[in-house]
Amino acid sequence: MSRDVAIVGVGQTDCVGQHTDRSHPELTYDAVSGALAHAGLGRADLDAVVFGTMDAFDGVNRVDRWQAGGAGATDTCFMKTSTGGTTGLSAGIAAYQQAASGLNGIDTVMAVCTQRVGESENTQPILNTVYDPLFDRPLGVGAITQAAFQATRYEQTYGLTDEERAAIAVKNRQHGLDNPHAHLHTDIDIEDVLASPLVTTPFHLHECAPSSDGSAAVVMTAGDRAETLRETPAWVTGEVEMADNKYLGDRPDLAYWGSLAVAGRELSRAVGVEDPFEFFDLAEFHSPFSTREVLNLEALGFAKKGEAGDWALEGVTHRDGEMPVDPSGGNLSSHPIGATGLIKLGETALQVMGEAGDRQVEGVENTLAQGCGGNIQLNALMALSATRP
Amino acid sequence: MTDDNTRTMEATWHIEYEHAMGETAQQFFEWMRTDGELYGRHCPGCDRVLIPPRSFCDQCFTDTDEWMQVADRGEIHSVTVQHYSYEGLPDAPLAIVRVDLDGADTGLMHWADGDDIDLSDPDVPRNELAVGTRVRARWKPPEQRTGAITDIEYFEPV
Repeated sequence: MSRDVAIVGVGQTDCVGQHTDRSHPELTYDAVSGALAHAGLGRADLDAVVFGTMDAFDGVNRVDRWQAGGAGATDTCFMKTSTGGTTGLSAGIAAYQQAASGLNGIDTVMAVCTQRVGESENTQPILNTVYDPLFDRPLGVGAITQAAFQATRYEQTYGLTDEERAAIAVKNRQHGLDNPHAHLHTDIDIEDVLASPLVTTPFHLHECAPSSDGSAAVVMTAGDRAETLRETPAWVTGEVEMADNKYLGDRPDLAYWGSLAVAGRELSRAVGVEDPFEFFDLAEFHSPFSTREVLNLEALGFAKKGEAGDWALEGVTHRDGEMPVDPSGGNLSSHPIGATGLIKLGETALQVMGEAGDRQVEGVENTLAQGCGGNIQLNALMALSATRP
Repeated sequence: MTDDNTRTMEATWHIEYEHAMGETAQQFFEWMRTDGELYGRHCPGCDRVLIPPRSFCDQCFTDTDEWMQVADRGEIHSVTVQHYSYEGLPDAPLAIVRVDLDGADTGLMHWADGDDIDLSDPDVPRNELAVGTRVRARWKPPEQRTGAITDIEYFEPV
């Protein structure tokens, strides 16, 4: 049987275009130091460290070796995860599973992810190298292509207006105004979104995530110790990470995210959720493009197929709405890709603790964090609660 | 890349690779080059014809058993037109499509275009290249084919 585990500390650097004043391991050190201080722990309390990033964005192969010291992992159990956009949540899940297992005397684990998307001249050629070199890469396919395919198919199946899409970007960027760590702090409206340059149809520039530098750290511990460290630790009530194959052409209908729905049902079974809309008080999704929010809501059972398109426009997903989504500002405000999933996990933990500052949602009991990577392929979910399981 | 007096150190990665195709993809590309035809692989477990062709079906986790010719025409499952060019990638405007080919159970990624299509028009994905549009492959002349996915120039509306 696994043990109860709670998040007891969260640390994060600001997300910016490029942190020129801090080297890669210094960013990692900043986030880890922040999480330890938040938890009231020291490095000697750590039994294991999980580090996550994607090497090619940072241009340093096996960048984890450069990070071990800044991650607090010297003479400590250390592993790396690298699962594309899922990386941050994969690191959180790997840390949780170690603490929950109790193997090798591991009780307290740090997950830390650092990503410097802002250090490369151009991100899309790197994203293109993720794809099959035989069939897909010569076509110039990238992460944005798969999201645009979902958006186009959704729009022409269920109907989705330019204004409904733009409202998702506006909502996220307005949430980001209240997040001191967010990369973009610009107040935009629907007209601004639709007047920004068309990148790939149907996405305008403001509907796409920025290229951010940033580091995030989350420390968790097993059993009663969590209750001695915080009045309200953020207890892990369930997690899942599942893969689909890599072929976009194999997805039966790109208007609906079938593999994410499978992962969502698995999480609901583990946590005991009957109706996600009723159960969860907020969600931090992996939505680096506007329409992803709609696909996420429908695949994860918050809405029926074709139902969530106008939720941002109607205020449902606003911080004070019925189902707040990305109160942090989400990927559209900050996106250090390999760290984003851990930022999401940390944000949901702060919400459960009641420590999310100006972005706090009222009365939070249960939260959901999502990570996604690969060819809309790797789906990770983690649920937190203010109540010990 | 800095806007203040902090320093950065320039670095580049330029590494060349030769990726093995595997016999299945190699055969597929050879038929594209010599015959201008497309073939998928049949899975005996789920009875699907899979394209791109593969030697195993990941759903059934079993070997595929035979080649099945699929049409070089079908319908657009989804589309996006890139309006921004990226270094080292094909120039915009560029229409990328998933085509669900007649006779296959999965879709193929490729490009779409046409003599009467202006890809710089942002409404093309809602009109000439809308979801459900019937398209066919426009092949390169045989002497220009190299045995690659780009032996098809693009898919064009029928």
